[in-house]
Amino acid sequence: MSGSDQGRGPDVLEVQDRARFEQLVLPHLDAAFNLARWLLRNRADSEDVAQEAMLRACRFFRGFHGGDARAWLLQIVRNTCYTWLEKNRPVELMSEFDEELHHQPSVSPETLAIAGDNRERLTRALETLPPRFREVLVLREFEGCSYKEIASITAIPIGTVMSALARARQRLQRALTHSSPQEATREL
Amino acid sequence: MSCDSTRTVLHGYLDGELDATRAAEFERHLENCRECAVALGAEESLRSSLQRSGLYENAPVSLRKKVRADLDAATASSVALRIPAWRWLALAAALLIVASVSWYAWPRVQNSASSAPFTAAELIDAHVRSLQPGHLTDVVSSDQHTVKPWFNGKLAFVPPVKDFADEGFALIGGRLDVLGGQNVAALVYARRKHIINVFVLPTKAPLAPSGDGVLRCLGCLGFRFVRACPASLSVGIVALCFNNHFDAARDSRPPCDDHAPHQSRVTLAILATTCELNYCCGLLFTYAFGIFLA
Repeated sequence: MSGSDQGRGPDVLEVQDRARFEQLVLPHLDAAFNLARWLLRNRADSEDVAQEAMLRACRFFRGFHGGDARAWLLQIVRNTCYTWLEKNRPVELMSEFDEELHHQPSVSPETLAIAGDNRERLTRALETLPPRFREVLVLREFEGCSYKEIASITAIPIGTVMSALARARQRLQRALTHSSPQEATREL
Repeated sequence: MSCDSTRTVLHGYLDGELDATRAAEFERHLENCRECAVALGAEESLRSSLQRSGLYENAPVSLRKKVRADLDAATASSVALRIPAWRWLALAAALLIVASVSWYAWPRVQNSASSAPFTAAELIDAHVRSLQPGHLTDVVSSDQHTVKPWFNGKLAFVPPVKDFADEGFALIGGRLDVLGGQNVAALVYARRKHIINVFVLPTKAPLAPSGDGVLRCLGCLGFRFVRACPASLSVGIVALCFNNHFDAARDSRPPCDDHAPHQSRVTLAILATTCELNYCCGLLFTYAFGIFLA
């Protein structure tokens, strides 16, 4: 994907390719934007990056020989987002992915339900997660991707998708419940 | 089974990604492990919070429009971008050639088309027809005083008729002919065995130089011709014969040029007439376009 910007010749869609592109790829524009929005945490940037990703998808479309068009597109979106982040917010990518799975006291479902019902708090909690945790959660919970799809989109081995999700969910719980006392005091 | 690994498997169970054996195994574990049961409850609660939250963000209309525009641009320009630069150069060069030829030739073509009373093709046809059996003369006489009166009442003008036998151009006779839709006098001379037609026709303007465009192609077709415009008569004269027979005529004296000898001359310019020039342009353009598409 990194060698994306070679000459413009083969970049462009043939007329019949365009019809296929519109049929297979374009319906996943929402998914593309949603992933970009959660990776970049900013609607304006996401719009630009999603547009760029669609252009790239156009260029690479010849290399797409059937299969899961959504996963194929989301992979391009994810790579475009990371390229953008590396360039514009390198600090965000420095968080450690293989963080130890901490033992933490179980949070009761009720507490989580109350915290989770607050849309703003949920958004903030998600956004505080490192991008690599955020993306597996978004792909799993918002997109409903299978582990196999998550593995192909995020380029992590399929065997580690489950543990990645486990860590991501744990971090999200922590973010939700830890922020709540502070929020409570601030609200008072 | 330690609860640590169970915590991981719990997510596989939650996500429906465990195979039947492992799922059953985990369910058995769940009955005995309260911690896992609570954790599963918490995860399910979190999941439903996330899914109910409406945090999924659809693509804004503006993005949709931009992507469509990008697609249009990528598709519309595809043909253009695939054509190598040299083909564009070839096309540009061809257009330039056509444009400059047209620019150079069009005023002349216009000029000749509007002012010339007949076309070169008509002139040649008339000459060739005259050489066919029985077409050469209507009045056969070497006597100018017989030929000239023969035209009386047949033409709206009086053609000058003179015999040049002494110079080697013997008058054979005359006939009526038609050029550009008007009756003209054709005087027939012979030099040795060669026939020279001298067409005499009334012209509003002198044939030279406005008639040039029409007559220029004669040279390239193997004809030579000479024009004379006796100012006093407002009559245009065109003498025509095949190429190599005319030098002698020019070198001595062109027929009928006693009225305006200084205006006679032989033109050999190679250019096309109106229709031929258009045809040329068309050919050039087709050829260039063929290269472009190949």
